[in-house]
Amino acid sequence: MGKNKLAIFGLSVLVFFTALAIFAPVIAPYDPTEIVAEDTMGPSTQHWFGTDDYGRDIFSRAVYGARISLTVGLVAVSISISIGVLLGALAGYFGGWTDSLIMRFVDVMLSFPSIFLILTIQAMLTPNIYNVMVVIGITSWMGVARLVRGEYLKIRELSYVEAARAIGCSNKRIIFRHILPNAQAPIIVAATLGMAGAILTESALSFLGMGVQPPMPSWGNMLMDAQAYMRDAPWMAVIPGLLILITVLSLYFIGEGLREKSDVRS
Amino acid sequence: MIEIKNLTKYFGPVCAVSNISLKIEQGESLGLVGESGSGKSTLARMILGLISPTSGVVLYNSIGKLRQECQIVFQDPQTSLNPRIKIGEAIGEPLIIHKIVDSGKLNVERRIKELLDMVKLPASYADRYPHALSGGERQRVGIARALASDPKFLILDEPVSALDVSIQVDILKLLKEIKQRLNLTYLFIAHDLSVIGYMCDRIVVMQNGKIVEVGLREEILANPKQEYTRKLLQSTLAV
Repeated sequence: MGKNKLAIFGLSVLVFFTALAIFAPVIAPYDPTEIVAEDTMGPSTQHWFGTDDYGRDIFSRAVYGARISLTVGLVAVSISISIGVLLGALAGYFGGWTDSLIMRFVDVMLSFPSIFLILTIQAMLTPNIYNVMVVIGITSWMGVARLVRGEYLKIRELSYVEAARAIGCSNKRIIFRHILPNAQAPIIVAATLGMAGAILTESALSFLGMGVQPPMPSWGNMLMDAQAYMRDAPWMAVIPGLLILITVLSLYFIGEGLREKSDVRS
Repeated sequence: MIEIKNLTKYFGPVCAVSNISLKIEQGESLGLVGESGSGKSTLARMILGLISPTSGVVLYNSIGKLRQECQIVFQDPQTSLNPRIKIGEAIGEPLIIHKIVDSGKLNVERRIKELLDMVKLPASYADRYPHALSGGERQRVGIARALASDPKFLILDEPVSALDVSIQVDILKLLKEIKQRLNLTYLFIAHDLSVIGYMCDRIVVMQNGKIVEVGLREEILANPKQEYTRKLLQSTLAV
């Protein structure tokens, strides 16, 4: 019950942030990249969250930042789920050398410290928002692959899979039509938690200057800008920090709620 | 109709089926008995090509059509239906895969209704998911699915042993009726000789992957030659 309430709270927050992101141009009172006032002004009725070191409106930047952070999270997680589901399904369903090959590849990918891998790839590419999504996606699918492989190993032994084979279903049909829908609950949980991870990674990358490039605002690079002004303008750090915290926490609550729900049913 | 020659299957070092040769005649209902672990199910799966044999062959008069013409009804109706696929879709799937019904949704739907009717389920069940059905109803769906591709040969792998006794008789009656109506050949697997006695004309007894006795129903039930068969008979009667 407690977890359920938290999950609903998380979902509400996420829906609210998504709405902010979608309607950013209507909601944001100022252009997020334009200098509209004195620099480092504290929160006021004119500038709810104050202004940053250039005199840009932090509320507007935060709203547009939601756009960036949520989009990056969503796209990155879509990429990682696609790769993870495909490779995990092939490994779990076929077993044998297919399985060994794929899982050794997973081990190799996992043995890279992923933040350095991401930084290296980003350093070779031009760091922009599209590369950030792709890079996060292709470095975070391994957990999903392992999870999906486990599900397929379990489900392929059930007699409805054998029944599908007996009526002449192709492997492709069995993998996607018969097994995948039965493995979807843990995949959805993984996607939720994965999105939280992706948002954190995006923030870390942008914080290090390897992610979303200024003047485009993301919560991560707003934090970076705030570093030098921690004493004089703490709101510059507190606002994006809190937004990241609340978003990630909400996603975790949703993920845990879903996990609990799917456990009860099985 | 089907001829099995020297069929052998090893799972690692364990021999599940050892050098079995057997002929299944057109129109007969052949019973296959033995304790659990005697290799009955492995043999059945090799006949259908679901498991490839270590050695030996299965001959079928039109081998290319084996997937369509040889079907199986599984033991446990709880797990043999995909929980995420509606009854109608499950029954309709073989029709689409083997392109049996002229493409066109209406024809498929009509055939699904026909099949549901054949197993005495209301047509409205097509829109339900398996969890909304009882064990006996699910097994009827399993039978309808097996019949969808218009098979000539049906393997029944302990089709009633997971069901309540009161429902068992209904299902057995239904299977007998369908066999006559569609002129099918059955391979009926069971460990319960009274079920086999009701369903089959000829009986094969298996033990540890080998055939120990073959004969007509009357001979085997009245006058078993092997000690093992006698034991099976006794254990059935004791229950």
